[in-house]
Amino acid sequence: MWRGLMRRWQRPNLRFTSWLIGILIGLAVVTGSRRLKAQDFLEPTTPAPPAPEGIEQAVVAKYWQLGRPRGFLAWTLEAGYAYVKPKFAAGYGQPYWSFVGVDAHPLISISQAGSYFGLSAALPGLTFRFGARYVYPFKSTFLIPRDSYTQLDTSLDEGPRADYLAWEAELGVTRPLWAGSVFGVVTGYRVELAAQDFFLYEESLRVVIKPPYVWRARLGYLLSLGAKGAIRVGPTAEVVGLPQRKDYVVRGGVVASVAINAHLEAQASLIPVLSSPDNLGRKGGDFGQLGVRFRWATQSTPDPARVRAFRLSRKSETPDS
Amino acid sequence: MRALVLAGCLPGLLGASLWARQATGQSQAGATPEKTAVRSPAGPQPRRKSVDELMGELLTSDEPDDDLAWLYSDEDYEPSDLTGKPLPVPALPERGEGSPRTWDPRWRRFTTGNYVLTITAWGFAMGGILLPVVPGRWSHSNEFDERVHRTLSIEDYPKGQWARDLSDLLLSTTVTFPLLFDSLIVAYWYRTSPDVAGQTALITTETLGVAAALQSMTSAITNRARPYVRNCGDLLPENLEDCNGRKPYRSFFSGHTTLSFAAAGVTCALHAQHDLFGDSAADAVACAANLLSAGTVGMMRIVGDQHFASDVLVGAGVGLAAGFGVPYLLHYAPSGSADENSVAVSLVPTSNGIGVGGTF
Repeated sequence: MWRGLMRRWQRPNLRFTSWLIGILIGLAVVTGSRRLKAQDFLEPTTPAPPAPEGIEQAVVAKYWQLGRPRGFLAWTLEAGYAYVKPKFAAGYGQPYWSFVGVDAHPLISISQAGSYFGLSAALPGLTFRFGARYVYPFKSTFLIPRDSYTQLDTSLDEGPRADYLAWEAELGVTRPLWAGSVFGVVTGYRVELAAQDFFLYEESLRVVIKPPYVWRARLGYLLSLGAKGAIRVGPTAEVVGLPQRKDYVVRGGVVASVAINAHLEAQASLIPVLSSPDNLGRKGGDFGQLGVRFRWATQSTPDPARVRAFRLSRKSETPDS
Repeated sequence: MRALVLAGCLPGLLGASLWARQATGQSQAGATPEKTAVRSPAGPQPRRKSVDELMGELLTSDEPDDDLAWLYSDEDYEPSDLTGKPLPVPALPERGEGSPRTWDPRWRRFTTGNYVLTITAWGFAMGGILLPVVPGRWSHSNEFDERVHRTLSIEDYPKGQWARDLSDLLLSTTVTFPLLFDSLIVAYWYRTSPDVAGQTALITTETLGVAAALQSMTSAITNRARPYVRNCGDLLPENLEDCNGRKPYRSFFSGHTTLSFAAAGVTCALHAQHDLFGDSAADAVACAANLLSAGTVGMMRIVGDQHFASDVLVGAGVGLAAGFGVPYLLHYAPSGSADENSVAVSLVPTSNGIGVGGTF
C-alpha cells in the first residue's frame, strides 16, 4: 500500500493538487484564531466564508452529470485568503448534480467559528437546502440599535458576544441560456439566540440586521468562454431584505471562475454595495474574494449507459458523421 | 503550538487529498489488465462485468481516437447541460494550450529542509502573538515620520476607512496572485506543467512565510504604537476594537506592506525564471503591476493612519529582500559546479534543526 501511495505521489498532477490544497488550507486554518487578528497581515477582505454564490451548478463539470446514481460521501472545500469552508455530505444520487442527502460543515475564518448542519437535495438545475448554522464570533458583539452603521460602529464592543443560531432555507435555479447559464438563488434566514433589543452584523450576508429575519435574492448570468467553456465570467446583482429595519441592501458586481479540471476551480468575485442604509466599506460586500473550490465524491466512475447516450448524441450533432 | 498545528495539519490534508485522488482515479485505472486480473474470479462460470470493465469496453471498442478522452479522465473539464454552447474566443487561453515549462535541473527543488523552513517560519509568524504587549515601549516618533504623517494621513479615523479597505483588497490580490494565478491557472492549467506549478506554489509559500515571520517577531518585540493610538479615548472610543488588545502596538514594521512586497517580489522572480506569460514584455508588466500594487498598499497604510512612513519603508525593504532573496538564494541560484561564479545556499535538516550550507 505504501509503495502504491508513493507511486501515486510521483505523479506530478497529484503532487501539485495536494500541495496547493494543503497550502491553502494550511494558510486558512492557521488564521482561524481570534488572537491572530492582531497580526497586521491578517486583515483579509473576506473576513468570513461568504454565503453560497448560487453558481455551484452552473460551473459543475459534465463528469458529475455522467456519474452513476449511488450512495455517496462527498467533500467540497472552498478556501481563500483567509477562510476555509470544508463541507461534508452524504446522500444518494449523483453528487453535485441530482441527489438527496445531508450536509454539514464547520465554519473557520479569521473572525468566527461555527458549524452548519442540514438537508439538501438537487435536480438538474434546481437545488434546495434547509439547515441550521451556529456562529460563534471571536470578537464581535451585538450592536446598539442605530439608524445607520459605519464599519467602525460594527467594531465597537458595546453588547454581549454576538453568537447566534440561524435557520436557513435556500432555493437555487440554474438554466442554460445562450452561451452560458442564468442562475438565481433565494435565501431566507431566521436568527435565534440573539440578545433582545440589539442588532447584529450577520457575517455571511454582510449586513446589519434587526433579528430575527433577513432574506436575499440573487440573480446573475455566467458567460461560458473558450472551446470548452472553462472560463466563466458574468454580472450578478442581489437584494438583501432587512424586514425589521424596513430597508434593503442592493449589491451588484462580477463573478468569475476558471475550471481547472472536473474537481477544482478557481473563483473570484467583486460585488460592492450599490445601495444600503449603512456604510460598512469592505465589510458590506464581497470585495475581491479569491479562492478555490474542490469537489470530490466516492466512486465517481461515470455511468456507462449515460456515457453511451452522450456519445450517441455527440455523434448525431457532428455534421459529417 | 501554532507550528505544531500547522505541521500536523498539512500532512493530514495531503493524505486526504491522496486518498481522494486514489478513489477518483478508479475511472482511469479501471480497464488496466492488472486490475481486471485481480477482480476476475478463477473458474469457468460467467460473471457480471464490473462498471470499470464496461467503461473500458465502451471507450475502446470502435472509435478509440475520438474526442471523448475526458470521460475517463477527471483531469479535463467540459461543462454540463446547464450551460449553453460556450462562446469560442480565440484570444483567451485554453487548458494545455501553452508550451509546457520544465524545471531546470540546475535549480534546487523544494526539499525537506525547505519544508522545515516553511513550517518553522509560519510557526514564528503566528507565534508573535504569544509575546506580551508592552504599550509604552515605543510610543515616540521622529520628525520624518511626523512630517509624512501630517502630509498624507487622514487623521479623521472613520474618513480613512476607504484607504484601509483598499490596502486590504490589494493585499489579498497581491498575495494570492502567485499562488492562484501564476501557479494554478498559468503553470498548471494553461501550460500543463504540474511539476513547475507545484514548485512555484511551494516557493511562494516559503517566501511569504519567511517575510511574515520576520515581520511578526519584530512587531511583537518592538511594540511600536500605531499613529492613531494617540486618539484612542479621545477622538476614538476606547471600546473600539482597534484600540484594544495587541493590534494598536504592532506598528513596526507594516505587515501589509511586507507581505505585499514579498508576494510581488516572488511574482517577479517566478516570471523571470519561468517566462510564465511567454513574452518578456508581458512578464515584465505582471511584475511591475504587482510591485505597483504593493507600493499602493504601503501608501494606503500611511493614508489610513495605520503606520508611520518608516514602518512602511522598512516593510517594503524586508518584503522585497524576502521576495527576491528566498527564491534566488534557495532555489534559482545555479547549483553544483555548472557555474563557477555562482553563489548557492542549501538548507540541510540536522538533528538540532536546520543547517545552512553554501557554495561560493
